[in-house]
Amino acid sequence: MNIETKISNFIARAKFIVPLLFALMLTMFVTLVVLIVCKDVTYIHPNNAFSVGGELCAMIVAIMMSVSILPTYKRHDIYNRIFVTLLTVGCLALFLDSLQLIYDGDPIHRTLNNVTSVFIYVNSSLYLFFFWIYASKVLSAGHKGKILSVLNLIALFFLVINFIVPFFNFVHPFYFYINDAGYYTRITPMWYLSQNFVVYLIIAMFIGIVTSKARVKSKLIISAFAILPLIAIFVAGYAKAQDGDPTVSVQYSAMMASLVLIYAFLFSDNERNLHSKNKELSIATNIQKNMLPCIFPAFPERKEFDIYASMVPAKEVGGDFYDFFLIDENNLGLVMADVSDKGIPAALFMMSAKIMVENYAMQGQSPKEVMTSVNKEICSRNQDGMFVTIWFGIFNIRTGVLTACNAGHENPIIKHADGHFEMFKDKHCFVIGWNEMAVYKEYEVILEKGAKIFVYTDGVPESYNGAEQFGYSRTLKALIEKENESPKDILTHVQESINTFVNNRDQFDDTTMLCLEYKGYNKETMFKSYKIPATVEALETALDPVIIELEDIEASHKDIYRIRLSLDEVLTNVVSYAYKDKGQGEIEIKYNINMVSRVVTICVIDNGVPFNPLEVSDPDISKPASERKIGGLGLYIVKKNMDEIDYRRENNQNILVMRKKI
Amino acid sequence: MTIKQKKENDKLTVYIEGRIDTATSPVLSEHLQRELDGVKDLELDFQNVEYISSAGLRVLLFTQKTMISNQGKMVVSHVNDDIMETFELTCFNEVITII
Repeated sequence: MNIETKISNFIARAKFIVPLLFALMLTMFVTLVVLIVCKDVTYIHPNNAFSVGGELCAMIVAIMMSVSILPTYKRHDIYNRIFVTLLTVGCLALFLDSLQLIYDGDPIHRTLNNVTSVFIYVNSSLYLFFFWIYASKVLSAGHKGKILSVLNLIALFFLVINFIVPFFNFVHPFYFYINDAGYYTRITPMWYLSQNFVVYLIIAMFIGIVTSKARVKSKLIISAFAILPLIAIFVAGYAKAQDGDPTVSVQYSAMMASLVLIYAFLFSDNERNLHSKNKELSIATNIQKNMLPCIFPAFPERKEFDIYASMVPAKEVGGDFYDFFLIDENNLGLVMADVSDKGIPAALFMMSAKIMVENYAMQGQSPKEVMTSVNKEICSRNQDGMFVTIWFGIFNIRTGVLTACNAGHENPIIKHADGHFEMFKDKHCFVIGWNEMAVYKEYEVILEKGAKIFVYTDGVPESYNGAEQFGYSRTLKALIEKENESPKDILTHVQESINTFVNNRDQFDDTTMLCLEYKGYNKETMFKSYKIPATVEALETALDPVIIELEDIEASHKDIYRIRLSLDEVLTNVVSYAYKDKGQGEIEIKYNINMVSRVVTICVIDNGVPFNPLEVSDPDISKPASERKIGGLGLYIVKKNMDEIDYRRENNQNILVMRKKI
Repeated sequence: MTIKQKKENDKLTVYIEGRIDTATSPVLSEHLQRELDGVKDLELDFQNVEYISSAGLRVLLFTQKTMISNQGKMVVSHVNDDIMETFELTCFNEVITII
């Protein structure tokens, strides 16, 4: 590793460097102003005064530019840091030149003039060297060629020479001397030798630009950067050499102007990059948002539960996601997850994780099996060290049992039917994506009728208002305030509480929440029910409610016919045989049409004598008419037309349940 | 359910309209028992029958048996798809003659 790389690495790593350089620039500027105020201005040559004015302006510009770079100094952006270093060295050049100009033509301060002038030469070589570092960084564009290494080495040689040689001017003036009137005077032709570094750099730059593989734009920036101050130095140097009288000193201001130029170039370039990146990010955010189920109510036909979820994305696209899906008629999958990183990579990672979880769950795997499978699959492909925390639960809608696995995610918050929302300290397993061998365990919670569960990502408790985080206690408080409302109202309230708390401050993280309310697997709420008297007359209109509903959902004519026929047969049976006192009893009909599974379930309940139609043997339909018995046909028709028939005797009631997929 | 009929010598054609279910089957059954005397050729026109339950099937089977013992024949005509399905399901299409 050569010196040039060491220097640039040092600048890139040292945390204090940018603030320090900034402080240096400010100090130089203030010192200069103080000196000018203290000095009797009548001693200063008008040309020199003019130059000092220009240089002070240039210093202000340098300070302003470093102020605008200051917020990014924490990032290891080597270009920005070398640029600030360049600004500082440039500032030093302006400072030294102004200092020299202030005391120029003042016989009393001849020594000071002499020392300052020597340092101007020394500093110039330093400036040129840093400029070369910057240029070679841009030209190398990441991978350094042999030519650049050689050029770097020669530049280092020139730096050392030009750093030392000016000091010999103290011993024997050869570049310049201070005349009796106290004016700085060049010694020609020796002075031209002092420009050796500049000449070398012009050649090096030319070779560098020609051989570099960097973008044309970068090359243009570098050449514009180089040419302006170089021309200025030549012009000014030539002009100054003509006579002993001081001329206007422009080279250092011109140098600063070129830095402004490059800054403007870089700034517009960055801005354009940022713009296209922002556009991509907003597209990514949209795709990500559309991946999540966002139509509510999500399962309007399911009366057993209510679910609501929301995601408020942060300014930057993040990796949060929620998901829920019916695995089958009775099982609901619930997912809440947070990908470790941000930006497009996190969004992509999130999408693949989401799909994997759903796929494995739909294959019938239990939560711990799903987590184990997803972890193995992600680990086998994860090159970037990303990980995801997932809370995954499968809720059994019939039994109210929630089986869940927590892979390094936040604790769920549960409200049992007779309690309040409380943090549920569940078993935590390792995050997904880091350890192929990680073991995942699951646990069960019973949600009774009226229970609710709230899962979320850390964006909720970590919402920040500038002074403190929203925290778990405020989250719990917001939940409890609306705990008897619907999931939608609860989430809306929590989000409003967060919004009030953060007070429009941009958030670093998405706030993602999901709330499930279990209303209980209750036949009364699930099934529609009506009663008819157990009479033949009542049969005529007994089926109407079911038939009308089937017609409403546009069931096929054939299915309607079969269901009507079956129900008619069953009811006829009850009317004919269940009650000894004919016309006294009642029949209850309960029915449910599941729009998801498209299964029609009809229950016929009577209080009559015990009778299990499933025990009635089928009629022998193969016999000719003369031998066929009259009877038994009705139940046979029912069995043939419906997919499933169950009978049970409960509380002195015959309960016959028929199901048919339509 | 309404019943109309046309009689020519020993041929009886019965036009049934509506539903043959638990409530209406006894009506059909009684009607046929009353009219079948001396009939050798019975046609039940199902053109306007929209529905038949097992109660109706029973009437058909009973009538068929009666016709066999009377040494006559019975046909059911113009059966719609729904009813045909029920006939096939119960193998009635093999017991009675459907044209």
